[in-house]
Amino acid sequence: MDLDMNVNAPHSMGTTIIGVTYNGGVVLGADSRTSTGMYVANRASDKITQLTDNVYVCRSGSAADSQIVSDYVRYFLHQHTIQLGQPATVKVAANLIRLLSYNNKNMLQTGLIVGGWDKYEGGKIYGIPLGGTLIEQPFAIGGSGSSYLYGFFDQAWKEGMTKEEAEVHLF
Amino acid sequence: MQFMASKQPENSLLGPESDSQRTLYPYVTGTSVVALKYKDGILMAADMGGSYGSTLRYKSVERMKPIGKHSLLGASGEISDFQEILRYLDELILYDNMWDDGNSLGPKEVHNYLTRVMYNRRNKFNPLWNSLVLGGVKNGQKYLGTVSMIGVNFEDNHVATGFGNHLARPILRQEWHENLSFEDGVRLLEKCMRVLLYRDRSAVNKLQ
Repeated sequence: MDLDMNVNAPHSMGTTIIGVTYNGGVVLGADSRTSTGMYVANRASDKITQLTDNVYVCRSGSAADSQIVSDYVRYFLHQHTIQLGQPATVKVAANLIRLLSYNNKNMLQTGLIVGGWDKYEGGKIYGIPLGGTLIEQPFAIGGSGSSYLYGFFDQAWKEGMTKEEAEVHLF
Repeated sequence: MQFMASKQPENSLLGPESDSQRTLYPYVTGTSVVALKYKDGILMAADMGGSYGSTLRYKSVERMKPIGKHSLLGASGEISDFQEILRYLDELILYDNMWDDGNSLGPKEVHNYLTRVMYNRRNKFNPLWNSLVLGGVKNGQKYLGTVSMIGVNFEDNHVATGFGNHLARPILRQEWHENLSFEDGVRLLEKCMRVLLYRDRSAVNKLQ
């Protein structure tokens, strides 16, 4: 990810976001700092945004881009839920995000992790990095702070954890 | 669903063209795909790595997918573009099935379709950043072809993309022959993938 924020210093999040699946659902985690260059613009930002009752998204990258994408997707999902007559699946939410990310890849700079639960597939995590690739993963990490976590997760992650174990790992 | 927010990128010198997508940069990329013809059909191998720049970010990316009843598509390059190609092909196969005429698209047809798609995108300066390998068997006829991101296409008895071109094809040129058995073909592919693992920085040791 581009880290040369000094020139214009757009509101960008120096973020770490994590999503983990476990038996029975998902756990999402994020830090709360938004920085503009070197200054911390908001030290209590909420980077986990709700899309529907059962699907949430962790946002990283440009604050504006990720907010607008999640707003659009929430709007579409709302209509989709009404039409469908039942809660939207995580896959649909992730695909909507992917469509927006992919078709506007030149203009958006945001990496997202979609996590949620639906009755068909249970808890699922989808990572959608820059460029709009959709990749389903048992756990996902993102944001500029995630580089430090790759090694940790490679070692500590295992299949079939309980909710408590997953939360412990997040912290 | 196309949402093009028409914002002028501040460092653009393009003027009115700046709305349309121009040259793209690949973000999440896959490395080489190697394929060869053997006695009864096609063998193809690709590793499951997705690199994000120089870091190997994803280790379970499927870069080969079956297309219709007869073909197999493998791709290197930008994974999101590959996923988009799969969607185009899904639609193509769907329409073909809807004809319900007993005929189905074979590898040669799919290869031709992909060539046209890639070449047209390249002409609009908006390429799909992939090198594709398309192989399949229809009515006993084996077919193996490749398309690059600028639309160069050809068919051959063995093809490779990316690093595979430099590392695997010489091996294949020397050791390939008609009527390879399945075991020999697999062994040959394994040899190529091993060399790629040694020498390609973005290769992982998980194969599809």
